[in-house]
Amino acid sequence: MKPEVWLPAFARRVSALGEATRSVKRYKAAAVSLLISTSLSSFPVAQASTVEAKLTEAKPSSELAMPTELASRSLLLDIDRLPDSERLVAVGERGHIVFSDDHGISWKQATVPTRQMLTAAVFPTADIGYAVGHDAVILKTEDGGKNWNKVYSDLELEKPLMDVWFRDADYGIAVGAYGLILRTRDGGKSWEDLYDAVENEDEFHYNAIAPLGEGLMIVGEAGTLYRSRDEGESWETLYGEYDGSYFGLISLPGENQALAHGLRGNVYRTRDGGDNWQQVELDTDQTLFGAIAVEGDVMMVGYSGVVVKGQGVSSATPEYKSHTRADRMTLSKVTLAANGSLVAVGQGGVHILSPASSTTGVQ
Amino acid sequence: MTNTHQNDLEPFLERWIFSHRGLLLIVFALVTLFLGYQAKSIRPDASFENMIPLEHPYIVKMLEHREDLGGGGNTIRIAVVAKEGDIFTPAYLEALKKLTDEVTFLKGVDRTGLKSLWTPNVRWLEVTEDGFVGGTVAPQTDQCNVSCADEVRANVLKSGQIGRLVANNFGSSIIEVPLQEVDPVSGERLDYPGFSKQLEQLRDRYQTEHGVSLHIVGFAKVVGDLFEGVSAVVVFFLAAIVITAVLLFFYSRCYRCTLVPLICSIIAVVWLLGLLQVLGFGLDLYSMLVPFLVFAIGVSHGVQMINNIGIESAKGICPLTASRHTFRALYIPGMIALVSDAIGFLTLLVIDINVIRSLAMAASIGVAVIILTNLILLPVLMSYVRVTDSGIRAAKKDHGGDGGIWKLVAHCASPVVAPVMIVVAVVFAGAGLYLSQDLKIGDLDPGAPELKPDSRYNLDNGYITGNYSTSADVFVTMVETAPQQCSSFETMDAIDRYMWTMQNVPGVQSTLSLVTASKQVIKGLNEGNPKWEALSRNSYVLNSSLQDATALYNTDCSLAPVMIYLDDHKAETLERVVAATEAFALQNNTDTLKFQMATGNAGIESATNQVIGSAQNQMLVWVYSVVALLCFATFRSLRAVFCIIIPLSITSVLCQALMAQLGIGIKVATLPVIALGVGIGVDYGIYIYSRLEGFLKEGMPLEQAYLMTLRTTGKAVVFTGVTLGIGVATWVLSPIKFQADMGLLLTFMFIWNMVGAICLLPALARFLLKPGAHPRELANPAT
Repeated sequence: MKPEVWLPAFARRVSALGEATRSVKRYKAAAVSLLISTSLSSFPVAQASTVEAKLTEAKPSSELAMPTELASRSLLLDIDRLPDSERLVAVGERGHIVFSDDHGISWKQATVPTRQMLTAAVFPTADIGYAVGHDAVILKTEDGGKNWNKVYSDLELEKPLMDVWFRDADYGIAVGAYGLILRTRDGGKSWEDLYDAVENEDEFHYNAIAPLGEGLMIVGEAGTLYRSRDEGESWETLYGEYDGSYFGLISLPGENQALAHGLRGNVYRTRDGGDNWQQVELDTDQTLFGAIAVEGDVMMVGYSGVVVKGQGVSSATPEYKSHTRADRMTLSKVTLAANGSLVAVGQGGVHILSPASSTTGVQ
Repeated sequence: MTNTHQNDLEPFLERWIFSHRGLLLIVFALVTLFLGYQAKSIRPDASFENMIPLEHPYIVKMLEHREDLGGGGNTIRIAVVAKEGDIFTPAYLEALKKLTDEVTFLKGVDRTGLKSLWTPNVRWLEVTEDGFVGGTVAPQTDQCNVSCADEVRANVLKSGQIGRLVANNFGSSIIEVPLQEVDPVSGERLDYPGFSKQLEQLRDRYQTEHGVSLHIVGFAKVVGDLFEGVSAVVVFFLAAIVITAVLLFFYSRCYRCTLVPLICSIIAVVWLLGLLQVLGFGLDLYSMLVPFLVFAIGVSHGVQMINNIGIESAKGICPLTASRHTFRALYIPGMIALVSDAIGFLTLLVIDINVIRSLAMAASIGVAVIILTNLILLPVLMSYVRVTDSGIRAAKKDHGGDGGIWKLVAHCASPVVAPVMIVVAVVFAGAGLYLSQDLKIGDLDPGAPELKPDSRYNLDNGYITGNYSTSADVFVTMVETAPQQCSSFETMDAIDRYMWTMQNVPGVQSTLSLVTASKQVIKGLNEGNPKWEALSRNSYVLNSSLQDATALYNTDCSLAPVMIYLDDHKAETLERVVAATEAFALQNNTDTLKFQMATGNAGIESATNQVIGSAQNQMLVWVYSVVALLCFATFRSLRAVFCIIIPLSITSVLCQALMAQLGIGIKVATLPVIALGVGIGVDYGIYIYSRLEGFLKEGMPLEQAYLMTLRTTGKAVVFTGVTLGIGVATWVLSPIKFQADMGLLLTFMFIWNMVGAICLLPALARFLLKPGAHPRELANPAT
């Protein structure tokens, strides 16, 4: 019998920074054979090839994402509705950006100058939007998501951006892996590194950035919680009740109320802008990657097609119920279309979770 | 009649043969004994390599990388179906456990690789705050009770095996059984038929004793089922002999005339099998048809002989003289017919597929043997036995009577009916061309194309593809790189783009390569967050992500296969995949990074399709040129060539139309059919035309000459068509799909070629051989 908890076969922090190991408070093992197709018998173990720590040259940056029929059915990671518009825009792997003007039924592919995975998008106005992704790429659109330009990328960094927030068309912050945090004040023309503004010695990943009350929150790996009350200029470290990773944070109705959701069905709630956190008991232990709050209800989606519905979450007796979708596709994000249907993205692209006939609330 | 009785006109061959009858019989007996002894040790051979075009670039590549690609494909999968409810019951799990144990200890099973819910290599895995947590899916208990079943359910949900080892509807689970082609200890080769039989025994036992039903798929099972089907072939052969014997008797009304051609034809088959063994050809699943063909061809030529001997005997002459006359009359057309058969078959050698080549060789050898057994041995034997009185009566009645039916048929040559026949032929040809438009290349049915769609194997395959997220049709592209470069970002990125390109090709279900593995691992190392499911530019990360995916690249990391799972293996699907791959390779191949096609069942099939597609027309041109040339050489008349070839070509077109309508594609099995059909079908024309020409030379008008032709040889030709048809028709019952297809098409070819020769040939003669032209044209014949 193998030990139930595997020791590291792979030190994740062996990164471009060139450090061999780093003390991380938990280990991860490559249990590949269980994750990938099991239909292949294995060979005698091959030596991992020796490769010099040279940075790989990127393909020409002018490469456009390949236009394909199936883009809206590829892995998509974020979906947003444009303000004051019916348009939905989703971003995902291979530089795929797709948009829909019929509440998620049909999708068109945008012209995008990268083939890298895009992880998040945000639209401060109905025309202007930003998308971020691997290679620390940042894209900007000025026509509501149809055409995109690259405003930033840094291949040598080898750090992906994970989420992006914009206050208005010009001022925004993008966060990512290994403590990556960038800010623009001029609509993406220039970006400044806020690395030193956050206390993150271990270079934990920042998984999401979201407003909370008057402030701004970053949640991330290993229970990291940061708050800024000056729009990102300075960040204070908060201490929650949880050591595992958070993948997102949503504000709830009512001053300073929010839910942070993360690994293995862990959801924590604050009523005081992040100072204190209480665990929300759920009937699932699947990881929750995305969430949306609609009035007093929330919907969270995550690993293996889990969908959690919460009703009356601001009330004294909130009710949470989960179910697993039949296709078991992992969902990354969910949003509310203009016609009231809930549209999620993840493995297999776009999934319409609830039909248009339902009211704006999450039933 | 044209017989002359002067000795000096007797050809030397005839004189020699009939003056050394005893010696000849002894030689034939000795050779038969020797070759019969050899034939005993002939064994069916289902070698996979013989069925594929070894010189095609795809196959060359495949064989070049065979070591690296490994035997990963040779796996049996057994779906164990719970008859009631789902698989999470103690009874089901106990049965599964028992079966897993039993299968583990079958000979030829690679025990370490075997997988089922009860094997320790099937694990569940969870990302936790502390890293990965995992364990075996199977609980560590001796007896599986209700709580154990619940534990299995919980573990299965976490294991990622749904759609792989566990059916999407939880109604069944799979035991995956990798096989070792060669036993690493004893060096013995896997006994496919034996292994398959053991699986069948397990299937029966578990069905009745344990309340589960089994569905079994895998290459070894296909081979096993093919061998099982082969044993039926012996029965078909016996059936063909019995039916032929009965028909022969009804035809000749003489048991001697029945037995002699039968014996001669069986001797031909014995010689053929013996020669194949001596020459080292062996019999495979395709050339297994050849003994049937040789037997049928032998009988059909025997019938011509018997027919003539009967007619001669009816004149009251002694058996020896009757045989000599018959030999004299028939050995030239017989020889020409057989030689044209043999050469027709040899045209199949242009096709670069071993089974077709060995089929051609075997058929040619067989036909050569018939020249000895049925053109020489048969008349010699008949010279010893007298046609029975009832046989003579039958011959007299037939020949002497007015032959009502023949009169009717002879009208085909009349000025009134001939144009009608031509119009009918044109209509048939037109309809044939129209209906054959849908003719496809390749195998069209799902599952194992070797077996019938409703065979147990293909039903099993249908169950598994219907309930699991897997496809049986895989096209594998081999990505070659410099050593140690298969995991570089450039390579992986190119493979990633290739995979996505292919996923967008209609008919492609999914793709799998080391990129899939790498992305999954990188995601797994980042808490399963899908935002990490992308390639890293960091070479350490990439290398490490592939540590456990060694099945997806070779030892020096210079080769990475990309598996492309398809909806089906229809030719259009394969062509789309090939075209997309070619386009991608054209843009992306460099000196150190090459996308090379192809292996996997679909890759091999597309190579085969390409070979067959280009060989098809080549072969038709060859076989028709050869046959036409032979006809011309024989009759020294282009008109004769047209009279004989046109009916054949209409039948060929109709055969293609039939294939298109029945959904039979042009494939390894059906490609030779037209060559065989034309090669043999030309016999009828040769026999009829040579008689007709003889009567015309005597100055008879066409219609009368044709009536005489029919009276003398028409019955024999009809009988020949029927015997040939029967010889191969029994194959239609074969459980092996391609044998059934071959049987059906050959039967059609033989019968229609006969009809064409009898009805269309005289009609064409009416127009091509102008009555007024005959005396002049025939004034200087070759003979």
